[in-house]
Amino acid sequence: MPVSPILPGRLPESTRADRLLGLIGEQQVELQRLNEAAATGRRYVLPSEAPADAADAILFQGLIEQNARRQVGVITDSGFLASTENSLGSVADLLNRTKSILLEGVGSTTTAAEKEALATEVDAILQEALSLANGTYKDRALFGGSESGVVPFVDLGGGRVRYDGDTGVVTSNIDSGLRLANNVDGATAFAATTRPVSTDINPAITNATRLSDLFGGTGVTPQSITVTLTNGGSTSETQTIDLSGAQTVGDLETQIEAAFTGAVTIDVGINPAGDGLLLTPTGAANDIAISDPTGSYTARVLGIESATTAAITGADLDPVLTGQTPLTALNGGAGATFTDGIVITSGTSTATIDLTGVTTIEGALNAIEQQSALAGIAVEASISEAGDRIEVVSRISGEGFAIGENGGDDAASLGIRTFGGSTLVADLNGGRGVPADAALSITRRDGTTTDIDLSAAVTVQDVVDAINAADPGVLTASFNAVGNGITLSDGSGTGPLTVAAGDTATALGLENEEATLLPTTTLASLNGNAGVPAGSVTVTRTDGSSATVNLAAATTIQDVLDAFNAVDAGVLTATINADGTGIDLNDTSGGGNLTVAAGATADALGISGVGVGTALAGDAVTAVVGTEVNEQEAGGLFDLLGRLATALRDNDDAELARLDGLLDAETDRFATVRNDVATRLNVVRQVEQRLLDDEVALRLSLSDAIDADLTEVITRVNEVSSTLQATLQITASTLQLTLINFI
Amino acid sequence: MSLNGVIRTAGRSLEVFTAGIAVAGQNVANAATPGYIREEINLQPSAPFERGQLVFGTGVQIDGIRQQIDLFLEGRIHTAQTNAADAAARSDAYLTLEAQLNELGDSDLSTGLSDFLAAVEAVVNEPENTAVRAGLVTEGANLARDVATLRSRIDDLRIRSTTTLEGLVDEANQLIDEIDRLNPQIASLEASGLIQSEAGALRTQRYTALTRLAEIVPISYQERSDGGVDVLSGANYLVLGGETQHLEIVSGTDRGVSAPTVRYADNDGPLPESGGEIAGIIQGRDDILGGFVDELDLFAAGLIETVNRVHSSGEGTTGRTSVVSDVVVNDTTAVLNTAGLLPFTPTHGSFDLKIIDADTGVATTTRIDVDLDGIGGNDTTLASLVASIDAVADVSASVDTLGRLQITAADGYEVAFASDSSGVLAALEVNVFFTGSDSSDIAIAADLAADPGLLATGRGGGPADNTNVAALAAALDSGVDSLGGVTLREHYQTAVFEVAQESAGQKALADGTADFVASLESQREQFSGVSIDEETIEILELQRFYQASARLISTADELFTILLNV
Repeated sequence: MPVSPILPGRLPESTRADRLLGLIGEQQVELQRLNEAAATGRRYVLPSEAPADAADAILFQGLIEQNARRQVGVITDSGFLASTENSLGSVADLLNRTKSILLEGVGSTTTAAEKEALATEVDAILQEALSLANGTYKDRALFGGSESGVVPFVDLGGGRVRYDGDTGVVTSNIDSGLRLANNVDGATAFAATTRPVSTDINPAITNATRLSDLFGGTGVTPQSITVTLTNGGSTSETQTIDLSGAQTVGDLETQIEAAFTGAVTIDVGINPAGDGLLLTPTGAANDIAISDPTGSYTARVLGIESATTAAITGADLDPVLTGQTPLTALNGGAGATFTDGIVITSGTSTATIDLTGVTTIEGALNAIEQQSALAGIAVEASISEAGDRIEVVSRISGEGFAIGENGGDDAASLGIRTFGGSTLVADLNGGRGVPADAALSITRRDGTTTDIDLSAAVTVQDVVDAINAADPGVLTASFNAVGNGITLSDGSGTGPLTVAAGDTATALGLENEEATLLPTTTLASLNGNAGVPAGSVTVTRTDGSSATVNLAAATTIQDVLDAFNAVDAGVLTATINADGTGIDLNDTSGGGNLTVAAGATADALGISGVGVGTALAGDAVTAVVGTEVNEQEAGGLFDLLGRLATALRDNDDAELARLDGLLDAETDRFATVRNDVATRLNVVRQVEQRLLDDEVALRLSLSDAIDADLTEVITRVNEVSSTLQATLQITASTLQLTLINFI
Repeated sequence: MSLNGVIRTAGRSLEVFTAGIAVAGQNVANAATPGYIREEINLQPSAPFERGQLVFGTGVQIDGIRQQIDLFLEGRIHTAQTNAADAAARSDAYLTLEAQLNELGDSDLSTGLSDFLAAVEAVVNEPENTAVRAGLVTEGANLARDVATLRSRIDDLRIRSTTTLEGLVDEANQLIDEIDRLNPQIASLEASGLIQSEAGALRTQRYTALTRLAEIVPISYQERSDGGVDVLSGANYLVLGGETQHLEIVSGTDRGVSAPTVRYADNDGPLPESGGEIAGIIQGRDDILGGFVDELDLFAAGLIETVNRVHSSGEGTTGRTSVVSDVVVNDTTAVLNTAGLLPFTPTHGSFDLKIIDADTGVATTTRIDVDLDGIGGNDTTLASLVASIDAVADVSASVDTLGRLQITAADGYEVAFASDSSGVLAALEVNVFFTGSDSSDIAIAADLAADPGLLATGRGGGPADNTNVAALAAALDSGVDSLGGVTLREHYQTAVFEVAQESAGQKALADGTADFVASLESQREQFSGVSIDEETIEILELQRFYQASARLISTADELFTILLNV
């Protein structure tokens, strides 16, 4: 509306008309706006009509849309978790029924037939549990992890169940800053895989190591560092180097080295420990100092902050394992080779994993999984969550699982051997351990008896150390070269080495007598698993001639026998002696003494020396090789059910007693899983209620920001209508009133 | 004085009063004529004569007919109209833009973004659900279409402003010609006039033309002594003496659409950047609508890069046996971070190339370095990238004739990507969700639209592996570097808020300037407008004077008769 003053004096009709017209127009616009507000329920149509309110309205609209998204998510999560909770509740009932059966089956009061009936009932429970564990909701296998499309649990028969899912977690964002998984994987819910036995294999850094993988995966975001190189005299150069673009350790090297192109230069590499940087002045420089510019902490974090010195050795950067970590970088870059392989045993199946040609962690994991699968063994090989070790677990419940060596140290180098020095004695034999008053009685090769007190042994290494301390260097205990177990050897004489039968010997897998040489005996297992160095043996025959027998390719006793027998068939013969403790040679070519020259190979085969006439009796080369006593078990419901049925059918009360404890432990563990799911479901429902409350509040706020107050609108319509009517009437009256009417 | 003299004096008075009534009649006749400036007859006593010691008057004479105009006020009105037209054009641009955004409705881009985010969250919750996965692809396509459609609508508005500009330029040129035509006519009519205001009608036409011209371009004018006016626009003349200078359209492009500008035809100089409807429309087109296009481009680019950076490092439930980049690289030997080579600039880093045995699912990973540190002269080009990929077993890489990267797995193998810290996969549009670089070409990736199984929800797990899509949800809820650290939603909302704020401010300015113009026009109307009452009084007054003069003649005549009868 024009706000100009009405000047004194004349007031033409056109002025009056224009001003009245403007007023009428404005009132009509206002009336139309009010009409639209009443019709749409909104105070304004365009944000610019009320920018502040519109900003609020747009914000609230966005929040309401976000609220709606989360409600959908919460409802979805609620459905999955409720279904999961129902299944877990039913499984808990099965655990209780299993407990009742187990208690009923323990002891001599139950007949074999009754135990068979109980075992049959256990079989039925197993099937019922499988049905529950393979349940689906909205076409998702509830317990398959991320493998939602597979049947997670496969009955292999004989009380064995294979888990084909994974440990994938489906995590969703249900509220601001609140992420929650809407699933439980089968491995977690049913303890369907063995627990990993592994050690930190401490990878060294390499140029390819990503900075984001340092410090246990926390990573480093580099900024700038200031490097000063001097030659002790007047030559000095200082560079502040921006490392923000560096992604790898190699990038640090490249960028720092590239900053110095004059007389003084620098060499950046990996420190001798393989865990940090090494910065050495080169060229004309002989001193170096590194500091952080203001606001940067990179030098300090990388452990290379230093006053002037001859060279800077960086601190441990603690990289995590990745699929691309080279095997040569393991164990601080010890440079272990992986040419022997590892032996994986699951139930009655054994797989020898060949790691030849494998160069990375990913390659090793793939080789373990794939070659195991070819042998019918289902394992999952992965990098641990902490990124410091490899974990290889069995997917099969109901049978034992072990990882051992294949004549070398590959399993130990990978940190996955399931039996070693750090293994707790108490954990052996499925948790039964060894007797509290553990002791071994060993009949030596010289006929004497050595008793060894193992009551203080906590770890297997304690056991080994105790045996080795009895007659150091003569009676030796070591870990089996192939598979797992403890090997005893004795150089005190030529007689048999025997461990007296007893609970401790059984618990340690040493109840066996010394092995008898067989044609199939591997050379690697001889001499207490020290094996036989590859090489040749020189024989001076009884006719005075000399023969060289090449045993480089021999791997078994039969290979050795064949090699000797091939020299002069039927004349020079090699056989296993009657005790099975060594190799006898016989040569009828002449009348002299048969002699085998001393050497690493001949000594290891126990055949070096001068024979009596045509015969040369070899020394004992075998040892007491212990059996596996630390098989890993899944320990979950399926594992227990399978073992329970077997124990009932075998009337194995000791096993039943062990399973009783394990079942209690599993029941407790399972309760925590259920509780976790129930807690999550409760959280989801609380969030759902909060989201509903929030929605009401948001809609109220939105209404305040955008909705029209109908009472106010209607009042204003009446007010403006009255004003418009008055204006129209006045306009009509005043515009009609002219002097002409009175002439 | 003789009786004859009296009669002559009275007779001339009759002529004068008749002329006065004619002027009043002209005013009454134009009382409703827009822009009409009322006229007023100026009277003055005729020159007296001396007889003996007496001085006699000779009656009345017309000094002239003067338009009642306040030239200072007229100048203020023109300036105000220039500003008002400019402000109105810019306000119109804002209001039109707001209407296109429809931000308070349910079909706005914010809602599209919310729907897309909802679809992402749904896949996070149920990654294995094929219908939900397809829903995300559909919502992605909808969002891309919404962005592209909004851009298209704004482009259309900008293009259509050209038509308006052309009309305004034509109109301005006609007005310039009209002023130039009226100038000599007015001069001719008023050549013998006394007060240079006699050509009232023509002057009114010229004032009307000047008023309208002032709305189109900022002008100032100066009346010459001959009654003509010189019209200037800034430092440029439009009408000067008998010379005129027209405006002309100059073609040009801005942000991908035709965006002509206007300049002075003779000296090719640009129009002032502000003032007048033309400047307002150009500002509305380039600064307001174009400015929002920039914001929309930033939003679209941020959306594309954010989504693609995450998506390109993930895996779908359908394995890829081959991948073809959607980006054409004309110079395969150029370093990949060369400005303008790729729609998004990759950085120094690396990505993992996974070759998956289709039968066993075993993945073999090779890290492909993307060296863009500018050191050593070995920075990565497309050609060297191809060589690095091609060196990996069971996969081949090449550049096709169009300049696109092609990666093909050997028979029985599939190819996947992970951990791209360089952004090169997103930049090359390999395994991406969106294609394009801004709001003009954003679209859903064609292969993804055809097979939602390619939606990269996981990172090597099973169908319910949601790690990648969860990362995508987190990225969409996080600040984007290219947007100054704010989220996509915050960026767009801020842009919309700014439009609303600016629009409100511009509307207030437009209303204010319009009110100011109305105020000035009211003042002019009060001064120059025709008052019927006033004219009626004038007519009545002149009528009485006429009657009196006629009576004087009658009286003189009677005196003659008496005299002749003596």
